[in-house]
Amino acid sequence: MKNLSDLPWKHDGREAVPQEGERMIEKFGTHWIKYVASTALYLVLMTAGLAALSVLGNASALAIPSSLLLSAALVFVHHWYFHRMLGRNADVVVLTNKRLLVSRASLWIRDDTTEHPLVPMRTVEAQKSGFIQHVLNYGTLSFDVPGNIELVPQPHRKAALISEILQEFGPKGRMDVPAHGVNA
Amino acid sequence: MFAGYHESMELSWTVFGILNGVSILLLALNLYEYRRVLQKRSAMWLSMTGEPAFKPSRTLVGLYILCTAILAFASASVLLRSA
Repeated sequence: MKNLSDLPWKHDGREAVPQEGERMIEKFGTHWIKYVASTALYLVLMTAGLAALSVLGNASALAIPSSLLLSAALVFVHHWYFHRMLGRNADVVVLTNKRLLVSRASLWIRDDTTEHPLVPMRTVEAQKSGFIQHVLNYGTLSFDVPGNIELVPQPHRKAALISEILQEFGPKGRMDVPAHGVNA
Repeated sequence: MFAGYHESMELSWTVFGILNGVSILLLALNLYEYRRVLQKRSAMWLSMTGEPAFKPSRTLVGLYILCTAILAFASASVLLRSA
C-alpha cells in the first residue's frame, strides 16, 4: 500500500511539484472584490487618523504625546492593511491538464496550497448568486468532490474550460491511469 | 521651563525616529515575505513554462512604499508644527 505522503493530494507543507506530462492551462487570481472591505476600512481609519493628527499639530505642545500615540496607531493600521493586501494578492488558482491548485497566503502566518485532482472529478458547476456577483462577474466553482473555490472571476468561462478537460478524460475519467498521472 | 520643553521635543523626535524605524522594518519584512511566497509558487512552474509565473504586483508594492513615506511625512510635519 502506498504511503499517504506519496499520494498526489498530500503536500505536508512542501510546495507542489509538477507531475510528468503536466502542463499549465491557465492561472488566475481571485476577484478584486476581496480588497474592497479592507480598503474601505483602511481609508476611513487613515482619513480620520490624519485629520486628528492635523488638529493635534495645531494644538499646543502638550499634544505631542497624543500625536505620537496616534502616529503609532496609524503605522499599525497601515502595515496591517498592506500585510493583508499583499497576502491576498498572492492568492492564485492554477489549472493544469491534471489538477487544480489553489494557493492562499497570509504573510508570515499561513501559506496553503490545496490540490483538486481532476482524476475523480466528473462535473464542475459555476455559481453566481446575488446582484453584486452578477454585475462584477465573479462567483464560486463547485465540484462533485469536496472543495469549492470562491471569488473566481468569470466563473462560467472557467467552468467551461475545466469541463473541456474533464471531457478529454472520457466517461470513465482517468481511473485507469496510475495515481501519479504518468502519460501513456 | 524652556529646558523642559526642549527635552520633551528631543524625546518626541527620538520616539518618532523609533516609530519610523519600526515602520521601515515592517515594510521590508512584508515585502520580503511577499516576494518569497511568489518565488516559491513560481519555482514549480518554471520547469513547465520557462518563466516565473507569479511576479510581484508593482502597483501594490509602489503604493505600499509611497503610503509609508506619506505617513512618515505627516507625522514629522505634525511634530514640526508643534515645535
